[in-house]
Amino acid sequence: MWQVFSENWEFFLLGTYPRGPIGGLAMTLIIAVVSLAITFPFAIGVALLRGSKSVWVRRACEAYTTLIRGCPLLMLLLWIYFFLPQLLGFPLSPFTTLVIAIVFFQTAYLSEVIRGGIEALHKGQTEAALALGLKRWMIIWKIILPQALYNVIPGILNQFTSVIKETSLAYVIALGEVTYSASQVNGILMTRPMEVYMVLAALYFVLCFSLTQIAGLLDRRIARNRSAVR
Amino acid sequence: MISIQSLNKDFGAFRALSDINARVEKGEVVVLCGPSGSGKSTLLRTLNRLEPITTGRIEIAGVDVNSRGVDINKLRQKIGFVFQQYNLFPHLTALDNIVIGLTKILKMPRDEATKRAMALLERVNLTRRASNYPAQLSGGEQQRVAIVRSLAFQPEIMLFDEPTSALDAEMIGEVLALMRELAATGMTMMCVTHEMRFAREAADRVWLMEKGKIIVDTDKAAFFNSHPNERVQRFLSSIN
Ligand SMILES: Nc1ncnc2c1ncn2[C@@H]1O[C@H](COP(=O)(O)OP(=O)(O)O)[C@@H](O)[C@H]1O
Ligand SMILES: [Mg+2]
Repeated sequence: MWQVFSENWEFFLLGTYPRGPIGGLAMTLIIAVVSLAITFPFAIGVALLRGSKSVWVRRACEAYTTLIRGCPLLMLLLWIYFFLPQLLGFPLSPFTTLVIAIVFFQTAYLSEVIRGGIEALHKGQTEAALALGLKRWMIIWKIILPQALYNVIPGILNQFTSVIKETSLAYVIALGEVTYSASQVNGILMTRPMEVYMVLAALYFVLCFSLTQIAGLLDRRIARNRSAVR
Repeated sequence: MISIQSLNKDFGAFRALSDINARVEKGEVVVLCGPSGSGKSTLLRTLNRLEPITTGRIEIAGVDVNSRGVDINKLRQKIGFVFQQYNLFPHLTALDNIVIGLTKILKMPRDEATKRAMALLERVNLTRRASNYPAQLSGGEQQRVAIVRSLAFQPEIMLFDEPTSALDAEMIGEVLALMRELAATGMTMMCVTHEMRFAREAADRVWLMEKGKIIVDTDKAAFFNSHPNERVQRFLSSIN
């Protein structure tokens, strides 16, 4: 296994870069970071709208999250891959296709995480801000969101590991990230699939495991800060 | 300054405030007391519209609090509100807890806001705590910061909802001292408290509430000097 990795590590980590397009684990991370960065503002938006005064807005957001949570990402990806270009009238790159799918998908999950952070705040925070005479959006922006987002940093990190795993679906639309790299290495070597896919597993594991460890660490620290406050 | 007329407040089928009629004059200090659940907090919270009312009318400095046209945020700046749990913003330093309102609401430049906030902290001997977060302050210190946070807007009325109930005994004194000092400056105040020493020293009037009604509204001397109402006697003996 080590030999497979040491002989092909550039391909696993970077794809054909710098001779060709970047791929491998680097691409995995690029897709994950870009998707999450775009998801983030949408997720905050949906989380806030779920607390809207209008029943219809609340229902629409709920419907969206319920629907998304009830469908597999792969299906969503295929839909976007086949239907969205028709709808738009121009083709989408595999990268864009995957990012759109993940954003659509993760907005539902991440908004739930953020909503949880908002609802966990003591209602005295809003009341104190109201009593001072702060406007609603200022309360959200300056009082509620900074606290809620800080408290759910671990949840956001955990969601990031999900996104990393979800990027492996790039394989089905022939977008070169780490899973795709592995399959290509396997195609070249022909005889050592076990070792190739062990390398792949190890790469995912190291990445996701360290992220969940960091999330756990932050969770304990944040819990400690919070208990000091109350 | 405050006028309450035929005020009723329902939570669903439960009547939390029932036919309240009362007035507070400018500069008066009113202590509200009564058993737990009698509606003291609810009454206080209707005054700055944290609680909407069911029927009746509340006027603050001649303004109908619940009328549609009223700029509620403007009105709330005139009414300081102090909570039992302090409700400082934990992600902001003591200084920024005060500054945020001045810069965001009054649109004061930051250095001017900082100057005013520091002066307020100095008034309560907390200058050295300016850059500490609420979690690093004692309960008494937090409550003093919360009080001057309200004072930063130079309010005309201060409402206190059991400001010392969450405090350890040794910190109650420092908060009551600040409230007495405020009362002495002629601030119009309404205080829900069980601290009868504060009522004896600083109050002008005492309201006794029971089951959503004000059952006694009298001046301090009458309240403490053998008031004929046996419920006053029962209340006074219950808290001592
Ligand atoms: N948001 C609410 N919803 C339903 N009932 C409430 C609410 N707030 C207060 N009450 C009820 O109204 C009554 C008066 O409460 P409150 O004003 O907090 O009393 P006090 O401050 O005198 O202890 C209590 O019976 C309480 O349970
Ligand atoms: Mg109360």
